[in-house]
This record gives sequence, structure tokens and C-alpha cells, in this order.
Amino acid sequence: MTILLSMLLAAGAHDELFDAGSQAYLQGDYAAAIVQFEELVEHAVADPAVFHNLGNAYYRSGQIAPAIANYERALMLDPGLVDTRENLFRCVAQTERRLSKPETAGWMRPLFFWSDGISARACLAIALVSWISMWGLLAVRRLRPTPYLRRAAAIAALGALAFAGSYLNRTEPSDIAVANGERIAVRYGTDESETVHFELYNGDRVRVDQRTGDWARVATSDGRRGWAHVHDLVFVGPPFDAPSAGKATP
Amino acid sequence: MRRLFPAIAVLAFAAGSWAQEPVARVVIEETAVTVGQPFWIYLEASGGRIEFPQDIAVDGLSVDSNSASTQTFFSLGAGRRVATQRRGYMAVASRAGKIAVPALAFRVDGKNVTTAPVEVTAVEHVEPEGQLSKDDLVFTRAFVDKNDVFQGEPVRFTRQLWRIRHNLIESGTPRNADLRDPVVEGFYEVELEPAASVETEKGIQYDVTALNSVLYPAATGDLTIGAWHWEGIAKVYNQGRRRSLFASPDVYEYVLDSEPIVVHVKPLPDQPEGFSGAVGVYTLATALSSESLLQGVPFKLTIVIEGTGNPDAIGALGLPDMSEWAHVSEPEAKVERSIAPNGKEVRVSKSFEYTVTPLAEGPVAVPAVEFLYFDPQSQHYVTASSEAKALTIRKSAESQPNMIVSDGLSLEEGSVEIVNQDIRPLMARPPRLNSPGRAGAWVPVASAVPVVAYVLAFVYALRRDRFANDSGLARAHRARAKAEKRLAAISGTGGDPDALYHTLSDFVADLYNADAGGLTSADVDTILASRRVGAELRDNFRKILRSCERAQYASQQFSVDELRALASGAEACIQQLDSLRKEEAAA
Repeated sequence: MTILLSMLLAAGAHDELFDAGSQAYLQGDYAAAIVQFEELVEHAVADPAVFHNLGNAYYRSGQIAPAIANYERALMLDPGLVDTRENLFRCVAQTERRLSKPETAGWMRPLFFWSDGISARACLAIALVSWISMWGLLAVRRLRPTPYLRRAAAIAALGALAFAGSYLNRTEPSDIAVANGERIAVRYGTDESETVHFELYNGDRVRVDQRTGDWARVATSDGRRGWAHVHDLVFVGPPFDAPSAGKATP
Repeated sequence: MRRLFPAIAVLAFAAGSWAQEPVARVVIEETAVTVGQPFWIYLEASGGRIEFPQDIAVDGLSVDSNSASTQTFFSLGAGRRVATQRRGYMAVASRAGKIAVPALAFRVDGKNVTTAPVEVTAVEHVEPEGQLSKDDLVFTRAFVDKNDVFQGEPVRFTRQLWRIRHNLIESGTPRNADLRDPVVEGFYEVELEPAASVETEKGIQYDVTALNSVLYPAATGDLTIGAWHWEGIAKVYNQGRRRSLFASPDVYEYVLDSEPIVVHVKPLPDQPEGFSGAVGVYTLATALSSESLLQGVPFKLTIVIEGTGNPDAIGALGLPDMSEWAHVSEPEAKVERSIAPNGKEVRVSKSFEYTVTPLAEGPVAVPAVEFLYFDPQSQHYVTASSEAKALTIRKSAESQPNMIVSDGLSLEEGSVEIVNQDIRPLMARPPRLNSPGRAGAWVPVASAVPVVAYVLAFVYALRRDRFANDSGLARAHRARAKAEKRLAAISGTGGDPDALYHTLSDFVADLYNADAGGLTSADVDTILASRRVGAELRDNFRKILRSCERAQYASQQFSVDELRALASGAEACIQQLDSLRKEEAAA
């Protein structure tokens, strides 16, 4: 009961923060809106609507990189958000090179291509319904054997497996990061003295395949790879950190 | 093991062709054959009834159709069994050089099928002259096609393994061999398909395996390609002995390291504005997915850059501004690599596909696209450009002004939406903000509930089945409840001794699965005694039953007090006996 009460209170506080952020945005106070929405994210609220609105607030305040990162987060949670995709497109169109998003690594993504348009929550719900149906059908079959019940249970089991896999795939942390700053040096190694291999521009999306200390090995969609400082990147995946202080580029 | 790979290849062939029209092919597994020495040509096809050709006539080959034999492989594809037959014909090359096996026609399941022509290389057998040394049997080579290049200019790097071609010598790599690729620090490497050939050097014939890659220098200065480390063995069988299981050959071990190669990389001359970063020789072409264009209906604009340089150095091209009449999406890039016909260059093709949605009707133009690259041969920067394309956009009945299309979604006529030019607005607060922690709490519970429910249903069904199959158990299970119900009814209605008597005797019969008809107090006592019930309890049963019998014989009714006393005693007896029975069952 206590836990339920505390959850309800927390939910109420989250709603208030969301409304306050939206209100600040509508009044043109984008900095305040960012603070409110970021606070929600700090409270472990990972909702596509929060990230969409946060992306809008960053966009309005002229910070393209965190805007792109937050739109990507929203789409990671719900790929069917047409509005968010539209806004992401607008942001990317304003970047220097308009680099396309690098392909993410992993064998699960090609396997679950068919569920690209389904949100993680929907996948989980369908997986649970299939799971419950499977056990229900098995129980009915046990109590009152009827033709086709075993086959129906097998189909439900397959559905549960497929959508559970898709849910796990959806919730797998994204390895995409967004360059946050004008002309970020990408080096051959993890040291400031290393030769600069190439440069990233503000808003360029990269794939992070390795992290060592304060350095992340990044790969662009055009195949170049090197080490960039993590403070120059906004990571799309959890824990959904806000952009580093002082790095935001109006 | 040698027979396993053809089988796998055949099964893969069958799996690939199960759903299509009958497919046939010619397979020659050897890279090169020796003149005068037999080898196998295989014909493969999938189907039920295959009529392979009786004879195969090939110029330059003598094919022995009499020795042909057929193997059949089965595989499954989408719930269907697919049979693939492989017919082998023994052949001998009668001349050296390229020998073309023409297209062969035969029938599969009543349909005519034709194989694609294939080519086989035949070489004359060369007997090594003089004494062979260990170094003549196996050696490696590593080399580049050029040592002095510009930054980004492709360098072809080849590693060759030369193994003598001799019927008394075997060579290869043992399982635990230490094979190390060379370190190519400072280069971006693209590996190509390995190639195999037969070469002759110093009068000795070799099977040569070449590992090829293209290196793109990423830095300037003297860059070093490290040594290629190869380990292997050669087994030499004596001339006088046949190569057999019991022959013990002379074994030579090899640990070979190639010399490091130094490539001098020059910086590019002063880079002009708009330089793409690509080094090589390129051409540029554009293509449209449709010539019939409607306002509001997206089409694909593809820009293809082909050449010999590093495709990864080619970023998305900055399209000339078309915002007056079209919305252009982010491009999707695709890279293809192939070996040029001369066999020495790697040709790359990088295409950028833009989704263009015409927003206005009338005559418009896709402007020329320019691509500035550095040509290392002429040592100049060169601009490749496509031709401008004039188009006419026709008005669509569904077209509307101010259209914006979504990027990355499947774009169809119906998906074009009418919106403002600004970004999409805020999203409303959902009824419940999603928090990962919250989802985590109820998911295991929701997952476990159906499992628990199933287990309960399972236990219930087991119990039900047990009762259905064991009437004694079912009677014993229900005996006490039934008896107590009857006792309650007797207490409420009157003093009929017969009803009380039968309640007790039926209870004992039910409990021990005995026939309840005509049980006397002596019968009940016998049953209880056979179940080793204690004397005191048996005595209580006997007393109550005899009281009932006496009343029956005297045609009397019990008074209310008598009946209550007897019913109370009977209830106690029933409870005691039931508990006793349960204890026995538990023990």
C-alpha cells in the first residue's frame, strides 16, 4: 500500500513537471522548459512524449545536437512517432553535412526488422497477451481436451517469443551518439596528443562501439572511425544524460 | 570431409531453388586441371524426374559418360521436400588452355532446363627439373602495386602462397598453425575475395592462392606494411611408394615471414574548396525512378559515383537547392565493390538515393551535381558532374500547398501530409508517463500469474482424473461430507432409526469401498476389524448400530433426546474414523 501510494505521488509529481515544462515552452521560456523536462528524465521517466518535447525545447533554444539526441531517444522508444521523425529530419537538415544515421551493430536488429513500426510498450503488451493466451489455452486443453488447442497454444508461444524478442531488441540501449559542438576532433587514439583523423560537425550522428575512460570510439555512416571525447557527445541510449555543461552550442 | 562440402553446397543449392523454376548448373570443383589427368564434371538439378544428358561433348575434353554416377540429396524448404541430383562425369583435358563447357540442355520434371556455360583452365603437367629443395615446395610472397602514392590513393596489396603442384607432394596449414595478418597501421584496408591460379616458375608448376586487399593511406610519410607470417607443412612421399594410409612421408615444416613493405605517402596538393576528400578516378551519374512525375508524389533521385578510390571517403553530396519546388529527404547510401575487368583494380560504386517530393507543378529542373576529387595519375583536382535534368511535374488532384513529407518512412501518395513549415508542436502528456522501473515491477507478476493458474488447473485436472478412475477413492473422499449431511437431516426431521443406521453403515462402506447393501452391525464390525480400527471405536459403532437394529425390530421411533444422543455419538464416530483413515493414508 505504501509503495502504491508513493508511486501515485511520484506519478503526480511527474505530471506536474511535464505540465510545467510544456507551459514554459508555450510561454517561450525554452531554458525553463529544458530544466523541467530534464528533471523528469533525471527521475527515470523515459517517455517518448518527454523526449519529443525536450527535443523541441532544445531546438527552439538553438541547440541542434541535444535536440537530435532527444528525438532519437523518442523514436527509439516509439518508432511510429511521425511528428518526432519530422522534427528530427528538420534538425538533421540543418547540420553541416546532413550525415545519415549509422547502422547500429548487433544481430537482433535485422532479425526483428518486421517490428520496426511498433513501440516497445506495444511489443511488451502483445508478448504478455500471447504468453497469457498460451498458458490459458494449455490449461483449457488440460481440463477439456479440444482439437487445435495445442496448435493454437504453439502459435501463441511463437507470438510471445517473437514480440518478447522484439521488446528486448527495442529496449537494448542505443549505441548512437550525437556530436555536440562545432568541429569536434576525432583522433587516432585516446590521447589529446594523437593525430586528428577527421572532424565531426555539430549534430552529426555516430555509432559508438567502444568506450575507454573519457574517450569513445565512434564510427560515422561514411565508414570513418576514431576516438572522440565523451564530453563532446550526447549519447542517445540510457542513462539519458543531459548534454555536458558548457557544451551546448546556440 | 572432402565429400561433406559438395553435399553442403548441393543442399544450399536445393534450398535456394526449391520455390523457383527448375534450375540446373555445372560444377567443376578444381581451380585448374592437368592435361591427361582425370577430373569430375558435375551436373546438378533439383526436381522429381531428371533426365540428365547421356553424352557431353566438349571441345578439348574427353568425357566418359559410361562412368557417370548419380547421387541424390534431400532437403526441406517451407515444408516441402526437395530432391537434388548430382551426376558426375569423369573427364580428361586433351589440351592446355581455357576450355569452355557450353550450355547443356536436359529435362527436369518435363521442362527444358539449360545450364550456364562455364570455363575450366587446363595446364600441361610439368615435371620438375633437377633436385627439389625445401624452398621450392612452398613459399610466400607479399608485394604492393606501387610504393609512391598520394594520401588516399588506393594501393593494391597482394599476399601469395605458392604450393608445388605435384602428385607426390601435399602441403597445407596444420590446425594449430600461427597465421598472422600483416599490420597495416596508417592504412584503411578493404579486403577482396581470394583468388586461385596455377603458375609456372623455374620449370616448376605451383598452385597459387592470392589474398588481395586494397589499402588507402590515411596519413602521410613513410608508412610500413608489416610482415606476413605464415606457418605450414609439406609432406613428400617417396617415388617408389604409393601414397596411402600407411606411407610415411618426409614432412617439412615452414615458418615464413615476408619482408615489411614501406610505402611513401605524399600529402595532397592544396585542397580547393568543395573537395570531397576522394582520391582516385571517378564518374558521376544521376537517375530518376520515374519519368512521369506528379505533384505531391515522391520519386527517387539516385546519384551514383563510380571509380577506383576509397568509397568511404565519399560523403553525401550537397545537392543544389531545389527547395523552391521540392522537398528532398536525407540520402540513403549504398556501396558496392568489384574487381575491374583488368583484374588489377578495385572498382567501387557508391550511390546516394534521395526521396524527392515535388511541391509545385510545372517545368522544373534537377540541377547538375558536381563532385570534386583528386586524380593521382594526372596529379590534379578534377570535377565530375552530372547533366541537369529538365522535368515537368503534373498537377495531382490530391496535391496541396505546403507539403512536407516524413523522412525514413515508406513514402506513398497517401502519406503526404499538410503541415506548417515549422517543427511539429509539443506532444500532450500521456495518461501515464512511462517509467522503466514501473514497467519492470508488473511484468514479472503478469508473467507468473498464468503459469500459477496453469499449475492449479493441472493439479485440479489430475485430481479429477484420479477420482474418475478410482471410484473407491472418490467414495472415501466424499464419505464424511455425505454422512454428516444425512445426520443433519435426521436430526431435523425425526427419530427414524433406519435412516441413522444406514447413514453409519453407508459411511463405513463408502470409506472402505465396500458394498453398502444389506450391511449388518456385525458386517460393519468385521470391516472395521479388518482395517485394524481400535476396539473402543468399533464398540461405539456397534452400540449405535445395535440400538438402531433393536428399534427397527421393535418398530419403534427414537425420542428426540435419544436421537440427538445417538446422532451426536454417530458424528463423533464418523469424525474419528475419517481422521484415522486420513492418518493411515498419509502414513
